[in-house]
Amino acid sequence: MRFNPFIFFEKANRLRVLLIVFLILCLCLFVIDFFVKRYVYFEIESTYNFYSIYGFIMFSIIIFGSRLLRLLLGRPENFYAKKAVDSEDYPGMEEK
Amino acid sequence: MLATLPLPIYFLIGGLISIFLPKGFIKSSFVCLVPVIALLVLLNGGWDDGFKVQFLDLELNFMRVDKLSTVFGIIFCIAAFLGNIFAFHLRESTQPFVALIYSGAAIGAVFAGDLVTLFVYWELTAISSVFLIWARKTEGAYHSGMRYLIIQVLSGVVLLFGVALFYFEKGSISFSKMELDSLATALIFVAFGIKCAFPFLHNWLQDSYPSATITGTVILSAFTTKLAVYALARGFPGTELLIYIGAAMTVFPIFFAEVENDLRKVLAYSLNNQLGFMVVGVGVGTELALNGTAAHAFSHILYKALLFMSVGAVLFRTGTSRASELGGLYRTMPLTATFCLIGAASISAFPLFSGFVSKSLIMSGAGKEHYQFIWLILVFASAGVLSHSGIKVPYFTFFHHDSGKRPNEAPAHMLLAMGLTAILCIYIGIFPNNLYAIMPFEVKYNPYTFEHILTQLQLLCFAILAFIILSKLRQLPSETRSINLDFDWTYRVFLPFLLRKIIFILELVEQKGLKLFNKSLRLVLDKVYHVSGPEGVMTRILTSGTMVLFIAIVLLVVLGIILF
Repeated sequence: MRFNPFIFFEKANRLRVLLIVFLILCLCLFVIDFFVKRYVYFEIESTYNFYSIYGFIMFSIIIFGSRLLRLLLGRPENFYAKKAVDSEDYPGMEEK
Repeated sequence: MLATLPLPIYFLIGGLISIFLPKGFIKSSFVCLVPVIALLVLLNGGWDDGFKVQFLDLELNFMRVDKLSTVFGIIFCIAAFLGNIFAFHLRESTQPFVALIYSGAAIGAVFAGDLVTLFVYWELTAISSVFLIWARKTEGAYHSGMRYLIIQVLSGVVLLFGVALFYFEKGSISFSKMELDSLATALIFVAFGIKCAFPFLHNWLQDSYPSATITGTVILSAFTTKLAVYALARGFPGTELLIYIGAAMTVFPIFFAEVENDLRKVLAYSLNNQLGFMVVGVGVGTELALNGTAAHAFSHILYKALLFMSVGAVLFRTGTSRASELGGLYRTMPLTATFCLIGAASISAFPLFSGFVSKSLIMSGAGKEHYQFIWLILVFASAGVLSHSGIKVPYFTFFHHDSGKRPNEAPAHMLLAMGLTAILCIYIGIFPNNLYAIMPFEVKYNPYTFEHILTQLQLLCFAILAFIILSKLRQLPSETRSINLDFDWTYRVFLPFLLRKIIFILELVEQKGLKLFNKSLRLVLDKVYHVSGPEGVMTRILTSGTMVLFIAIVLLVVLGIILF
């Protein structure tokens, strides 16, 4: 079997280690903001950890907003029936 | 002389030759070679005076080569080359031919120096590209292609009206900066807007790209919309309306992309969102922002093609691109997964990847001109890009839960195409000055300052943190086989419904009216019959004696009148 870097993380706890490393990185990014004087275009940008907080909140808004969108506009796959490719399978590998 | 022929000629002749070549290695190699030759010819230059042809009273210029058109010309040649490598396995005549004509038409439109030439190539891109959708040869693809064709040709017709009016007003067909102050320029603006997928004009994109063939989508993703971005950058730089249109384009597709199940549709929405950034850049219109638009179009074409290629390779191997049916493919498709992650990192604008060095030009452009609200929207949209293209596409395809599928790694030519594209994405990210060197204006910008790297990492890492937390809390939208209604519902369902209702009512009115008319007519005819029918007063048959008496009385009356 050829080398596959992703298999490496299958072993017990290795993914957990990666997660912890990531959390430490986040923590560092959060703390470091305190020591950095940033050049800003707008006042709001100079708020402490503006980017971290904005990124976190906006991502959450996107997730919950999109769930609301699906609630309102979600339809079964065959809604447009035969006039769309939504529910059809890709035609049998004719390109091979 | 040969070297100064218009660039699209190489594609058109190449396309024609390709029809007669034997299917297989020779044909596929040839269609890969054509864009390379065109690129070399373009870099060699020689069109300082354009390529002008007198047609009736009009002077057409087929090759207006300046810095702005050259950027798009170069990236279009590269995209055609990479797309054709990806399609190396095709053993048919239509798609390689159409791919060459389509890319040639897009390049022709980019170098068009006048509006008439632009119109001709504008329509040619529409007519040629639809075959990449129809080549899927299913009923759904047929309908989808029809809708695509109608909308694209409509864009051309609107453009034609605009150009004609423009000619009457200004007496010129030159394609240069215009003001949005008359019906003519408004029509031209709308025509560009349709191809650029402005809000409410955007549905053709999400409808057609997932309907095309695996290789067709890769080709489609590069040209039409970026041609429209170029046309806007050429015709309407600094038009403030574009800032707001672009901002709206960056926001609304995010939510749709997040819940779409078909990953190629997710990428189509994501493409729409990326176009928004470019349109904002055109709207801001400063040198910095226009450089941003050109640079972002350049890197966007590459990473978007890379993402479409990786999902295409998965579709090629598994027969599906639905998120609900994929997952865990990293086990057997590690290279495709790696390339997909590189594309995802590029589109999310991680430092050292191409999106980072191009998007920041637009953001700075908006920031420097004090568009605070727009700037906040763009930062929001950056988090949104990460959510669907950066995380969703690779995560649900290659990781997440195990779908049980164990497909083979993508074929060698697909890996080659993805590998080359990935290298370009990273190369641009690490050495941005090479990209900046070909921008329309001089770039005095260094993306790799400590604070820029820091703030970008803060934004992205904390968005990822939000993803991890929401994922642990099982709050992410579930992957189910479903679709979401978008504005196209109006013309795919509502308008036909309305039309049917109107026809029904008209028919009803016609029937009722006809009944009433018949009834009245009968009444009138009955009366006439009563008076003039065989038994009627007027047509009664009288005896000769009565008639003689009647005449005698009349004579008497006349005599009386004369005598007295």
